[in-house]
Amino acid sequence: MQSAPLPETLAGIAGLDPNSTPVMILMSLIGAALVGTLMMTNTALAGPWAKRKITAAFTDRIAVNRIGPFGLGTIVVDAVRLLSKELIVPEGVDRPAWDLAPLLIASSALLGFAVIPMGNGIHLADPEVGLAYVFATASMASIGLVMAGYASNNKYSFLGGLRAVAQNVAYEIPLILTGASVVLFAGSLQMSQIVAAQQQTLIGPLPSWYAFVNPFAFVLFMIANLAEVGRNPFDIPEAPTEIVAGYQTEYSSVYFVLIYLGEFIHIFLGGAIIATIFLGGPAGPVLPGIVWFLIKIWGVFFFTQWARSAIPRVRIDQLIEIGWKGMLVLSLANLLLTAVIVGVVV
Amino acid sequence: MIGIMKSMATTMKHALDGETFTVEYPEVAPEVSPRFRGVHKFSQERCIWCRQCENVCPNNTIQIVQDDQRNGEQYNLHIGQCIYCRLCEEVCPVDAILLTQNFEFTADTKDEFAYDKEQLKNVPWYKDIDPLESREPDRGAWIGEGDGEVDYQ
Repeated sequence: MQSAPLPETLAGIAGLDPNSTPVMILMSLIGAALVGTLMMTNTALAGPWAKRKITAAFTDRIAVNRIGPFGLGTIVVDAVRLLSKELIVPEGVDRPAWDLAPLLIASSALLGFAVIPMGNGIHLADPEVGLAYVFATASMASIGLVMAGYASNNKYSFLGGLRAVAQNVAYEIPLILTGASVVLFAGSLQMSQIVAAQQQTLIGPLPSWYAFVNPFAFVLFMIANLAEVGRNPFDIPEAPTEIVAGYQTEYSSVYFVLIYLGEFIHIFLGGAIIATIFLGGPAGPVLPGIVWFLIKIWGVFFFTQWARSAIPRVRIDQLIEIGWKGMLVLSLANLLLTAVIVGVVV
Repeated sequence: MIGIMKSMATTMKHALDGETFTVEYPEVAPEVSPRFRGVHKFSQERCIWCRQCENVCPNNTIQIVQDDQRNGEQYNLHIGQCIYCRLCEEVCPVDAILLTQNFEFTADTKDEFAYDKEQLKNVPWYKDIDPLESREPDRGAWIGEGDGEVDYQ
């Protein structure tokens, strides 16, 4: 499962010397653009279209079907509609922070894909601290949320930003603790090592994916991930039906698109992390790795939409209680048990 | 936890059976309840110009103009202002006005919703449903003897 990083592959295809720095910088940029485009395409498909279709199927409706086959033209129409709207800047906003927040929310999640192995050699970089890097970039979105809320010069946005950051901090810790239990199993933070450690079979044809090795950690991680990406039942930072948008109240037009995009890239990043550390990354029979990888992250996206239509939203105090008294304790217990199992049994 | 599992199972069941409640309106005519109240139909032949409907209307939707001999000249109704309470139909002694099942009327401006008696006469039935058929039996409950079962339908 050892694959050369994408820039070297690209340099090989172009017939350039992979040892020269300028070539590698250029190839890294091209590779980053490729990976970014791939993930943006997924997001474009998910945000305006798949989300509606999936939720509609769960709630016995049809959803968008007027433009194009299966309503796929909605993606283009929505993009044009949102981009052509007026960008309204409220009075008294803290301009640099207000402008930077949507960019930060959207780009922080995209950064994480740099170290995710997507199969077929689509793997931009493979640093030894891969998992820590992914968690670090994913949690950078919290800064964007609090910036957006604070800079909007609006008390509701400010409160919304505080709620969002309270939630993200409360669920970041169980998320990373559960991720750490996987690191104990794999013995490495490096993404390729974690994927390689899941290659052998567990029982019969069942591969030793950590979702099968430690289902408890998998469930914990899925729940914490829901909260981390702000999906139901933990979507109170924006709570569309109750407090209307929270930290993003003042954002319109392109900035709104960026925040919305950031949210969906974040879901896919969460899916990519889950696929990598629990579902064996791009591993799978017959089909090429990238297809399996996409199936897995779309599976996680599907799960978030499923939870969205099935589970009612929790209150902010319940959310904090679940986070600090439930998830944190359970994830610590999981980490300790894993450490005992790995240290004593294996 | 069990409850969450159950709710997720229920939604998945609904997703898998593939049924939808959506009515794709322009292509498919939606079913309306027999008791649905839509735009009015007016019969000048039946009307005796007693003006009870005008009096009973809670928000002055109906305007009747008569000449010196109290012969009816105009019967105007502002559909855009109507709350479809059906009081005008209830109060009419000769069933000259009744609310059809027809909801298919649109306009570009507010003024176009002011219908005169010719327009009200020409309101089509919706799918040939006669609204009186579904409504007449209900009135029996109003004049019950006070004993036995009360049928609130």
